[in-house]
Amino acid sequence: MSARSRSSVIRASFQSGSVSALVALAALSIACTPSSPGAGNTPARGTAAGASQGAALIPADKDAKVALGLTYKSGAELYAALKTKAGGGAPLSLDDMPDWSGFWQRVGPPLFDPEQKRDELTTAKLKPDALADLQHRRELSAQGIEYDPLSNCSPPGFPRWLAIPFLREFIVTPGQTYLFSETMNNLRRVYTDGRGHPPAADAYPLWYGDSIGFWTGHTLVIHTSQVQAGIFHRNDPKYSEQLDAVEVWNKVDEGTVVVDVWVYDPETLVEPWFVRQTYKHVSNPDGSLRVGYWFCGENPNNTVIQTDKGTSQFGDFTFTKPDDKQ
Amino acid sequence: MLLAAIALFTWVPTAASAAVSLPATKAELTALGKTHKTAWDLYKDFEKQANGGQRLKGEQLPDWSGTYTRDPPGLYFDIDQGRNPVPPAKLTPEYDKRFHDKLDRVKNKIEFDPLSNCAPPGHPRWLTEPFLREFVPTPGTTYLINEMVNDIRRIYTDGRGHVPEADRYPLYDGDSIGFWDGKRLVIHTNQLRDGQYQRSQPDYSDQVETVEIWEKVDDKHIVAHVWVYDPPSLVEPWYVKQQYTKLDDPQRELRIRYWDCRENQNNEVIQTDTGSSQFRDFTFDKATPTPPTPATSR
Repeated sequence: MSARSRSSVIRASFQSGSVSALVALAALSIACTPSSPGAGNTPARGTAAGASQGAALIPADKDAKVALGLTYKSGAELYAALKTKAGGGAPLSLDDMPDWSGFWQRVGPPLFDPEQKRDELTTAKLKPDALADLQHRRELSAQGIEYDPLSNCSPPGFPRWLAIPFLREFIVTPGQTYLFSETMNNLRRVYTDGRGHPPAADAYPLWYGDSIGFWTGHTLVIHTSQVQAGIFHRNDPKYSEQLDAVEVWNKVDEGTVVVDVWVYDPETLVEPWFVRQTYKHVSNPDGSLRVGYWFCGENPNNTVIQTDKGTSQFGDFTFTKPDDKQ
Repeated sequence: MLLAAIALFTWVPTAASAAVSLPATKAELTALGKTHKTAWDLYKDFEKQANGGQRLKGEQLPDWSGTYTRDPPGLYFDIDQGRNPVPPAKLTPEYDKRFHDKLDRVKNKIEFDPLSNCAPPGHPRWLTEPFLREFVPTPGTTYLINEMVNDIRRIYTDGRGHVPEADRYPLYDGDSIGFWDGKRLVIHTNQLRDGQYQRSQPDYSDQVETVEIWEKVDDKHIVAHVWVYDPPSLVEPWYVKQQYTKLDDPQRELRIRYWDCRENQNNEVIQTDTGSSQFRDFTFDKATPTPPTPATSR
């Protein structure tokens, strides 16, 4: 029996009992559902109904979301306000988990704000030093002089993590959600078991900072602080280690996860930067798509050389020609 | 009648309901491996005993949450090796010679570990690495995470097979599929790169395949029974048992962070006068004797 037909038999035998089981479980869940916040109208698994929880928590309109960010001085304050509004959030039930399984890929250009227009410098409202830095780097970039820490196999760090390409997985468990990006095997851990951030004495800058969160329905709200300084993307502004951010994650339909993001950084931003990131489900009907270990150092295209202009470039980098059938 | 229906359809598999019969002793588990020619044969036998296995979801999934570390913490693939420099594996003459040549070089302080270049350990060495681990069962995939170099194994339990032969090539962590037998996870892994089981341990070839049975045996311990098959290097399958112990974290302050291998200055690798590699200026806490100072050439 082939692997595929074997799996079909397993699937068929499992499903034959599950219809009746669902009827019985549904009867039980109606009788036993607690009246906790976010549970009173628990949405169907992984559907747009889950997004309605987030919609109730935050406004739907972009201008209103931007305005919401402006009413708070920090990501921590916005997060606390959202948590209060959600009644503290509600732990996920093992039998009512959002289904975010599969592979996902970001939609949009290599800029932190997917809505940024081609002729715009940035949509962020920058402080003078950050603005001057961005203008200088853009001028160098126009001359082909650009340095990206990823060239040395460094991870992108957060919040740039939100905007990088390649495959992603979003792994939901009751106490912890893992947000994975294939690039450099980046794994963000979001603790949703009620813990707080580490004590200030133990906090130091990290590539991905420290993330805690809560669920309201199938909406995940995250606060991240304790990050290392970095850049939002190539040709995007820099940020400082004072940055903190709030994210609201929702699966809005079977093929789409959206994240509303408010970034606060008193050193570089005049006001919070609101952006929306979108991730699309990657088709994998036969299950043959895999994510392997990303060993940056083994790719010969990752040999970095210094050019005559003092910039860095990949040694002997070649793309495959579109008509190359080999 | 309704209660009977509810009881029937809300049945949750338990470890006790596992169908695969595992013998109790290491000798018997070793012998079990020898009754099958390949890892795939052993895996299919287990699958048959488990009637194809189950797909767990929701409350059926075992709770493997928390942070674990290998126990005992030594660097031998077989924890029963003790102080014997030679493991109990039955090596082919070629790999036995290769192994003893390696031991001779190590005696002369000549040793190269690919981890020095920030390469991942690869499976099955993955099983033996120190540091922190997380084991994350989800309905269709179980993630086995090792902190070191952000090393994540994915075990597909959604019924898919391995990738077609035409698409296979050696990978650090290979390709792993599995099924649930009660609350035991049975895994078959192929498509691996060649490597070594650990420093000062034998090498294996890219024909290596493994079968693992993972089980949480009490509140603090997860064990993995492992059979390794590798015709070029092993005369017979090598059975070992790995154990991982859950760390106490009452304040929930323990975190796993991104492992950027290159940013630790202890990871700057230099070449010694003897041709070996060594970390530059590597220091342990004072309680531990300082290692010999390496040469300064790069």
